[in-house]
Parts: sequence; C-alpha cells; structure tokens
Amino acid sequence: MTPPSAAEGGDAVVERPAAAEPASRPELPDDLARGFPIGQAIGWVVLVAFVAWLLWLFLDNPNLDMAVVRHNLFNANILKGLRNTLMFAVCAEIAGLVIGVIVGFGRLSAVRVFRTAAWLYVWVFRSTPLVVQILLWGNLALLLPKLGVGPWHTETNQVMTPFVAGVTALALHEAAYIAEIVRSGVTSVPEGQREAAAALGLSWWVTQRRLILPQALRVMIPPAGSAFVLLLKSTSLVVVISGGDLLTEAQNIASVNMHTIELLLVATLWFLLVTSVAAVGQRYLERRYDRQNRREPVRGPRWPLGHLGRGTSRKAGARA
Amino acid sequence: MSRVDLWGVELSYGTEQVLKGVDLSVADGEVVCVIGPSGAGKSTLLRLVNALLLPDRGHVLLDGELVGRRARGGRLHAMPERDVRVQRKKIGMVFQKFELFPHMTVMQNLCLAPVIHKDLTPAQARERATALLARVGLADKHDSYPGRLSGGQQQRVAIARALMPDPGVLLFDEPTSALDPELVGEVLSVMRELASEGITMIIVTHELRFARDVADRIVFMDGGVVVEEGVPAEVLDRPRSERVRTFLERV
Ligand SMILES: Nc1ncnc2c1ncn2[C@@H]1O[C@H](COP(=O)(O)OP(=O)(O)OP(=O)(O)O)[C@@H](O)[C@H]1O
Ligand SMILES: [Mg+2]
Repeated sequence: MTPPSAAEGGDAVVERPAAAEPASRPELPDDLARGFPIGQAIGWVVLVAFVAWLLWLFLDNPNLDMAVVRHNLFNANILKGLRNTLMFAVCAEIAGLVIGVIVGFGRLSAVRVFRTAAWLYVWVFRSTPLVVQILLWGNLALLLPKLGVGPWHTETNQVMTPFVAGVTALALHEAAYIAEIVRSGVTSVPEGQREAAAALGLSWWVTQRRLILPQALRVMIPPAGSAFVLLLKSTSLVVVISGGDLLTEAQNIASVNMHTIELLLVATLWFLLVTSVAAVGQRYLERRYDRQNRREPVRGPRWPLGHLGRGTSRKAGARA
Repeated sequence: MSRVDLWGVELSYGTEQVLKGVDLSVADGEVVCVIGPSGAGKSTLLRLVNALLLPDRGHVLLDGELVGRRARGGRLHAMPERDVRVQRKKIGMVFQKFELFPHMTVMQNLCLAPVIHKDLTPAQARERATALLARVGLADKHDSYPGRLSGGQQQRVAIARALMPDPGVLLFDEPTSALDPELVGEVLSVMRELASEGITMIIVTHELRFARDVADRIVFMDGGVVVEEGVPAEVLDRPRSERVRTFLERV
C-alpha cells in the first residue's frame, strides 16, 4: 500500500525509452497513389446525361422549331426589347441605389423620425408583390388623372408612360432591398473604426466615405450583385403593362406567328447572356474591393476579366 | 505639450453610473498610468478626455480649455463638431485593438487625417510619416496593408498614426492587451521612448512592471472613482487602501 514512487521521484530525471529503431529500413514506395474518384466520375456521367437529355427534349422535339429561334434571335423588335430591358434595369438600379443608400443610412440614423420613416419605406416596398406595384404605377391615371399643382399640371398618362411606370416601380422596390444591404454592410464595420476616425478628428462625411463605405462595400457587393441579377429578371414583369421589354416583344411576335415556346426560348437565351455578364461584373467588383487581402497595392490592369489572365494571382494574394 | 484636468466628472450609460466624481490632473509632460479592475471606468475616462463622450456633470479641460463644451451665459453648451475636431487633433489615441483602417496601406493610414485637414500637403505628410515609421522601427512597411503585419507592428503603426498631428497628449487604452506575450516588449519600448521625450501620456494598462518603470504617477481606479494615486513606489509597494492591496495580490 505504498504510494507509487513519489518519494524516490524527487528531482530525479525521468528516463524516457529511446525511440525504437527499426532493425532495418523497410522498402517504402515514393510515389503517391492516384485513386480514381469513382464516385465523382459517376456524378459527372449522370450530370452530362441529364443535361444532354434536357437539351435533346428541346432540340429533337417536333413541337419546337429551332429555325424560328435562330431566325428571331436577332429580330429587330427583339433587339429593341433587349435594349429596353437593359434600360429598365440600369435606370432602376441607378435610382434604386441612390434611394436605397439614403434609406439605408436613414435606418441607422441617430434621429428617431428618420429611422421610423426608413423602416416604413422598407416595410411597404418589401411587403407587396413587385407585379402589383408595377400594375399600380402603370394604372396611376385611374387614381390621379392629372399630375401637378395649380396651373402646372398634365395628363398623368403623358408622364406615366409604361417605361416611366416600370422604372419607378422597379426602382422603388430595388431601393428597399439596397437599403437593407447598405444597413447590414455598414453595421458589419466594427464600432472601433468609427471611434478611431473620430479620435483623428475626421468628420462624419469623411468617415463614411473614406472608411466605412469602402469596408462595407466588400460585404455589400455579393448581395447587391444578386439583387441586380434579380432586378434584370424582374424587368420581365413589366410585360403586365406592355412595357416594351424583351419579354413583351417576344410575346408580341409569338401572338402573330404562334411560336410561343420558340420566342420564350429566344428571351431565355438573351437573359442568360445578360445575367452572366452581370455576374462577371460582380466578380470584378468583389476583387476590386478586396484590397486589404492583397499583399501589395494593385498596379497594372484593372479592367474587367483581368483575373482570367492571371489565374494564380488570387491565391497568391489570399490571406495566409 | 499639454495638461489635462478632470474636475468632478460623472458619467452614466443609461441608468448605470460608471464614473462617480473623478478628479484627476495630468501636468505638462507627465506620464500617468491608470490601473484598476475591469469595469472600473478606465476606458470611459479616456473617452472623456478627447470628447468621444461628454460628462453628465463636471468638467474636462485640455490646457485649461473645456473639451467638447463651451461655457456661455452661465451654461455649458455642446461645442460645434468642427471645433471638437480641432481639439481632437491635439490628442492622440491608441486603442487596444489598434483600429488601423484595413483597406488602406500603412502610409495611407498615417497620411489620411493630416491631408484631409489640410494641415500638411501630401508630400509633407509622406515625409513626416516616413520619419515616424522609422522611429517606431517600421521603415520598410509603408506599402503593407495592416492585415499583413503582426499585432506588435500594427500597434506601432497605430502609435505613429496618433503622432502624425504632433499631439500634446497621447492616450493609450490597454495598448498591449491584444498582443501575444512576445510582442508586448516592442510596443512598450516605443512607448518608453516617447515617455522619455516629454510628451504627456495617459496610459491604461495591466503591465505593472512597465507602469513602475515609466510612470511619474500611478492612478488606481475602482467603481468609478480614483481610489488612490501616487508615485509608483508608493501605490505599488505600500498601498494605503485595502482595495489596491487585494488588486495587486491578484495580478
Ligand atoms: N457603451 C456602453 N454602454 C453601456 N455601458 C457601457 C458602455 N461602455 C462601458 N459600459 C459599462 O461601463 C462600465 C465601465 O466601462 P469601462 O470600459 O470604462 O471599464 P474599464 O475600466 O475600461 O474596464 P476594462 O478593464 O474591462 O476595459 C462597465 O461596467 C461597462 O459595462
Ligand atoms: Mg477598458
């Protein structure tokens, strides 16, 4: 019943057994095995087969006339519709950004009445279907036949063309989402940054513009990019007020030649192209505002697609 | 160089009174270390000195001039933001978490404020920044982004940034608490050098050895008041109050 060797332990050096030497060094291969990823291979086969089957459904379908698709892809009216769709999206995005930034900062204001007004805005425009908002703006004349005050007024329908109504509805709706994106971006910047800026004697305006927004943008660009892609697609909703967009034009043609599916396919192809370009733009912006994760300040080309030519630079610059 | 006076300063966050009548004077060129347990109100005290907070009661003065407020018609009025910003240039602040601007290079971090205030031309700012970076031992890091620097290097950049407008007072809020132990020394040695050059410094710190070495005076705070103050040997070796003694035993 003696306690285990505490007494003799003292400051005696504990002896460790020497690492056992293998009697002889066994022959070991140097090459690393390259396993064949059988699971992944099956996945690829299934994916390719599935996509091929979908394409075949389209291409080898007696009800689908690819010649009509080809013929209408560059139809003058389709191209005009495409231009209108882009105009809708770009105008609505610009106006939406301006309003959204103001509303977003309103939601963060120290002044309660601003916060409430901004919250109300977001609540209204996010809580009603976009298509309803488009219809409301498009039919504004039913509610207010004349616009303006006193001697200065005109027929509502002269101002609220389908284009103006569509842009207004899309912009106000987009602004509500931008406002939320701005709010989350700005709150993602640590409070200490504002304190440091104040301690340096920087004004609110300089602090926001030079310090908070550039940092917030990194967080804001991915959701803002998604919002823009969504907006691009949502422009097709102006078909309900005959907005003259891509889908409206496609349907107009279809109503004459009865090739509904073919013309929907034409619209689809153009949307795929346009949204893909937008996605590339988003990636470029993301990289641009990711400056702090690079080792050195960026010199050299800053044009879109720049990353395609410098395949490894992204990895080299990523935080270790 | 500047002097700082706090007279009967009280401050509450909502209903919680954090400072309950603090009197503290820091003379020209004096180095004061503020110690005390967590929640004592040390950070709050520093924020009052550069008007990041305004006291509910009492007065904060820089070189005999009210900070963030102005007396008119027998009342205290908040100073216009513009004037507060001018005052803040005379006060440098160094934070526990450095608070460098991560999207700007070291050089841009240093030059931003003086150039925006038009106190220096960009060329003058760069020249001054280069000199200050050399002084904190980072002459080769101009173009680095803060994320690429070690904690100790970042804090030394932050000190250089605080020195850019040539402030009369430097405030430090636990400047080494966020650092790995082996990086603490390089920051303290920069601070030690500044202290020997006669700039007024108020340092909140848990580094008692450092405080003993550089402080002209040690201030012990607890529960929103100054419990004890005196030269380091007095406060650290022969504290009069029980609270200081138990605090020193614990650290
Ligand atoms: N912005 C704030 N809002 C509400 N309460 C706060 C705020 N900042 C600090 N407090 C409270 O005020 C008290 C004092 O805080 P302060 O940061 O000044 O303490 P401190 O002495 O610096 O402590 P530490 O050593 O932990 O940094 C604490 O109880 C804290 O919870
Ligand atoms: Mg603190």
